[in-house]
Amino acid sequence: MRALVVTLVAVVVMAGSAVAVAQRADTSASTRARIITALTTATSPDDCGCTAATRAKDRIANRATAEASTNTKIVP
Amino acid sequence: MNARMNRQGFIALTGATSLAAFLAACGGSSSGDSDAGSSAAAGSGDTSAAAPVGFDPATEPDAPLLVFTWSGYDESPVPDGAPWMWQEYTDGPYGAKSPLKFTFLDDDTQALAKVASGFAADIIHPCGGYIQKWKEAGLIQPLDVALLPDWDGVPESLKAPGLIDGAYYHLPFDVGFTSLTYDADAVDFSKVGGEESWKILLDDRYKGQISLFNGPDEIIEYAALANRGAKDPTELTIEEIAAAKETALLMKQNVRNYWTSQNDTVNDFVNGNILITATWPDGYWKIKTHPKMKDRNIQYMQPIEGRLTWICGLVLSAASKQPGRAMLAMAAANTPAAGAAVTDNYQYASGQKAGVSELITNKELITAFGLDDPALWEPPMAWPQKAVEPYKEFIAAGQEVINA
Repeated sequence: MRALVVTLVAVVVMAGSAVAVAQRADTSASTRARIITALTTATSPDDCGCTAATRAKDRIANRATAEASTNTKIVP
Repeated sequence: MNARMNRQGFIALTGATSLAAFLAACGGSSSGDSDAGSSAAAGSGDTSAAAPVGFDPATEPDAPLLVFTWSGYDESPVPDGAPWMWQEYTDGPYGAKSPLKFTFLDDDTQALAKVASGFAADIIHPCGGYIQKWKEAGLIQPLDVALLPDWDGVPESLKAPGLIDGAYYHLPFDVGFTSLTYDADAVDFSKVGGEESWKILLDDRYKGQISLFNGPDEIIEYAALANRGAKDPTELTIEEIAAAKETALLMKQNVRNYWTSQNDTVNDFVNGNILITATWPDGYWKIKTHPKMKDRNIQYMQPIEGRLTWICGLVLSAASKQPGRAMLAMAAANTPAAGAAVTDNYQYASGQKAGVSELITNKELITAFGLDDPALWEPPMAWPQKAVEPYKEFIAAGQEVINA
C-alpha cells in the first residue's frame, strides 16, 4: 500500500514537473499538451512498460551467471 | 502478495527515477543537454510531416552520437555487448568523426521521461507499444529511409507500429514472439478442440502448473485471443475487455504465478514445477536445450488464434544535430549480418529478414523460430505488439486480474 501511495505521488509530481519542463522549453500550448499527455499516460502506475526491461535484466543476469560459472570474467 | 508489493516497489522506483530526471531538468540547468531537449520539445510541432527528409551526413558536425539503448546492445565486446550491431558504422567514414556513445534504458517509461526532460540522445531504442507515445510527445522525427540500404528487407508487418501519419518513425531491430512453451509429453489439447490454443490456459488438468508473464496488457491479450479467436488482441471494445478480464480470471485459477524474470520461469519449468509457461523465443530455447529436458518433447505453441509479436527497434531523436549520421548507424543495425547476430547471440529474431537465414550460425534456430517462414510473422499467425486500445481500460483490467 505504501508503495502504491509513493507511486501515485510520484506520478502526480512528474506531471507537474512535465508542465514545468514544457514551460521552460517555451513551447507552444499544443506541444506542451502533447508532452504532458504522453508522459502522464505512459507513467500510469498500472503500466510497468517492463517487457523489454525484463529482457534486459535477464541478459545481465545471464552474463553474471555465465561469469560466475567459470569463476572469471568471460573474455571474448 | 510479495510479488505484488515487489512489483509496486519496482514501479515506485521507476517513478522516482523518472522524477529525478524531471527535477534535474527543472532545476534551471543551462547545460547543453537540457537545451537540446528543449529544442526537441520546441521542434515537436514540426515532426508530424509525412514528407521524407533528406539528411546529408557529410555536412553534419563532428561530434559523438549518443545511443540510448538497452543493456547488451552497446559496443562492449561479446558477451557483454553487441559490437556486431554497430560495426558497419564504426568502420565507416563517420565512425571516428562521430563515435558512438551509449547510455542504457531502465524501462520504456523512464526513457521517455528522461528524453522529454532534456537528455539529448540521437538514437533511442523503444518497443512497439511506446512508439506512438514518443511521437505524440514530439520527441522523435521521421526516418530518412533512403539512408537505409536494407530497408526493403524489413516486412511491412514489423514496420506497421512505426508507421504514423504516413511516415516511418521506427526501424525494427530485435523482435520475437510471445507464446506458450509446453511439455508435449504431459500436455494435450484434447479438451480445448484438439489444436494448439490459448484456451489451454483454461484446462484445469494443469491447475498450478502454468506460469504467465506479469504484464497487464498481455494477460488481457491471451484471454482475448481465447475468447475471440484470430483477431487483433490489442484493439478491444470496452465489452470485449470486460469479457477478456473474466476469462483471464478463470485462467488465473490454473496459474501458479505471474513471472517477472524469464530466467525464473525457465528454472521453474526445468525443475518440474510447471508444464506450461509464456515465454519469448530465447526462453523456449533455454528450456528445450536444457540438459534436464533432453528426454522431453518441448514445444513452442503456434496457436490457432495466433502468437503475439513484440517489436523493438531504433528511433531518431527530434533533437539530433546529426540525423544523417544517426541514420547510418541505424543502417548498420539493419544489415543481414547484424540480424543474424541477434539470433545467434540472443535467440531473438531480427527486424531484417532478407539474407539473414544464410548467415545464422546455429541453423537449428532458423526452423525453431520460423525465421524461414514469413507467414508466421504476419496476422493471423502473429499479432504485432502496439499500443493497446483503449489504453486505460485495457491496463486496468489486466492489473485487476494480477491483483485479484
